Amino acid sequence: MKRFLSVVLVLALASTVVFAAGNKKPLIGVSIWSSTDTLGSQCKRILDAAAKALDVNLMYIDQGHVSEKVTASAETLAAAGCDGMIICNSASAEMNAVINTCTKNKMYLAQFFRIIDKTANPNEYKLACQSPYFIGAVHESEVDNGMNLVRILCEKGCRKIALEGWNSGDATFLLRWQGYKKGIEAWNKANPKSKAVLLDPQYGGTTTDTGRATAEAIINANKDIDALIVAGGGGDTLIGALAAIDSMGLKGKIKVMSTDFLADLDQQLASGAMAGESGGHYADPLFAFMLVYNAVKGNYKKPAGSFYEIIFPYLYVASPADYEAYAKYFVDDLPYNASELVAMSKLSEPDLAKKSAALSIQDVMQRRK
Amino acid sequence: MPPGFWRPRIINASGSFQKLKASRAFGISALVALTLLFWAVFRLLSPTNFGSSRQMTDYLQTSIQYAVGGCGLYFIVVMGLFDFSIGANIVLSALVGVLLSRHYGYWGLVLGCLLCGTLIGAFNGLLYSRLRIPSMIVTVGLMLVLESVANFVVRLDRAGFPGKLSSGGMLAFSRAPWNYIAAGAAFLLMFFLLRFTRIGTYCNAIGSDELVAKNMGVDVERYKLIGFVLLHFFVGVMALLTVSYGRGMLAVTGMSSMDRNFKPLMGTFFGVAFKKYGCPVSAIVIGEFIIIMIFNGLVALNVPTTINDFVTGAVLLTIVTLTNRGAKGSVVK
Repeated sequence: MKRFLSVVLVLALASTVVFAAGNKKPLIGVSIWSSTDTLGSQCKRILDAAAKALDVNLMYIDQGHVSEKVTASAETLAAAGCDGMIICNSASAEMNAVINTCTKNKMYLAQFFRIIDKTANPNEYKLACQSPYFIGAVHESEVDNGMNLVRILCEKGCRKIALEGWNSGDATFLLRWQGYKKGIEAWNKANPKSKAVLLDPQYGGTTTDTGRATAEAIINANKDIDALIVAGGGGDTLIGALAAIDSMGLKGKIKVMSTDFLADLDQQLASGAMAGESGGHYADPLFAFMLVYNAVKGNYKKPAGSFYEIIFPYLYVASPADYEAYAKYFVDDLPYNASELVAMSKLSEPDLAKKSAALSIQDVMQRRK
Repeated sequence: MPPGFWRPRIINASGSFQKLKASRAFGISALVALTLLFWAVFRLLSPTNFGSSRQMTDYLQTSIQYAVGGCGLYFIVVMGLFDFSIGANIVLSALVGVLLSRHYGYWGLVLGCLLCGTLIGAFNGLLYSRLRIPSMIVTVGLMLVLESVANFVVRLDRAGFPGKLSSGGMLAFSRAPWNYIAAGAAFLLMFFLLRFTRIGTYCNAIGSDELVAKNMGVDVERYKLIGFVLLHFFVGVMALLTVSYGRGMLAVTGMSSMDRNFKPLMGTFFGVAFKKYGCPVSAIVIGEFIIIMIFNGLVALNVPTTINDFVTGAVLLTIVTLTNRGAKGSVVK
């Protein structure tokens, strides 16, 4: 047994040495909820492509959106000698510790899928502005996204909409929820004779089985719902919710909308299991990566008393035809090839922001002509 | 009438009641009564949204996967051991099953889950008995190892949807009757092992006093190893049911798989609490059903998830305390 343990120990140390060897390229850390779930693996795919094109090493840490793991991930990446890191945090309060760690270790930092709310988290926002290493944030307009999803559902005739979140208190979920509520308010104001109602959220975690159990509980408790919004959670919560609806014989009767595209969205749309989805935003971390890469290279200077903000557009898909075009350029291929990624790395920050805003299916189609 | 004529009869009646109180029938009646109590409370509070026969079937389908895991955990928990790698094994076995199902269909799915689960159990047991350090420490280390292996396995899955079962096929175990058949077979196996083999008796003996059991001739190390193998065989069945139920499995790292340990464990607590009535299997199955029923009942009442967790925890503590509290002055391990 001692010999066996010695062999295991030697192998573990050897693998560390092998991975550490030749680590002279820039090293950028990625603190992500999961690099293997539906959305996370897509993010990893495009980040790996960018790292390959720009000759950068990446180090991933899956923190599961657990607050202490989020803050610990920055410490781990700093200890690993990262020159910069990008992070998708859970709650904005975590950013206090993360920014301090990055400042202390002179490690550049950018958020993806997130931005610190100036009003709700003024201390963290101030710290981000003051830190010379917090370079910027890339995020979607989650409130608008929420409003759009509710509007689409109401236009499809849904009047009682249930909501399944993933973790209570998650910053993105709270913004989307705000959007759903605003969407309902806007609809009811415009259609006082045909009002819609949004139920309070129940939380289904980020796994398929908990997603299914929660969706079943929601549907059993509210038999008259005609729509279910699965707010996100990386895609697995949605897979579970769809399994629940299918097993209860309600496919097509309850219209499902979500954010985070599934790999088989075309089949789900064709079968009526999904009414539509917003997503395609897996390239968001690419722009956070570009911010940090340019900061590490000395190309971008941190704006005094502020930071860069890039708004990334959502794509909306509501039919199999919509999805076919999306799949061609975003699933089977990446929206940027190696030469485009190298060209992107040379853009100024305002041009990078414009590049982000311009991303759409049509944009990729034109570039591929 | 001679003095004390009634006395023996009174003693007999009291003895009969004590005997009844310790019987399997009493234990099962108490479990059924608890189920009816919770059903009645939520049914009264939410008559239209809770507790119809269709809904009860849904609750049962959700609960059986956790009950299978709870049965497996019982083997080592009664011996005073614990295993933190259950969640990681569920993830890894499910992903191995999904990967093999791409090539070998249902055989790959079922055998992948069961064999992978059992092999991990044998490995855990061997490592525990050889290293001679507490099971918690061994299994925390193994949890991290298994999570990493699961991440490698998911990368081997070249399907468009890694780790997910395709919606067209491979879903027999996600619904009746196959999910009930798989779970029912596991419950029967557990019942058989506890009732008709020496494993159950020896596990209890080791849990009561390991040294005494050893002096009585019980091969403690061997039965601990058997306990780990059986636990992870049941975990393999749970992996099959869980991956089918959710139609996929997510590979996680950083001890995130640990969340999956606790729902089966709650059922095991019921089993341990009702062990004295000789009905641990029924207690685990009904216990998990009660927990899922409470969750659904609170959702029907539109109670937030955080309060839901609080209520579930409080109910579990209350039931286990009422049924399994030691006598005053007794040593609680």
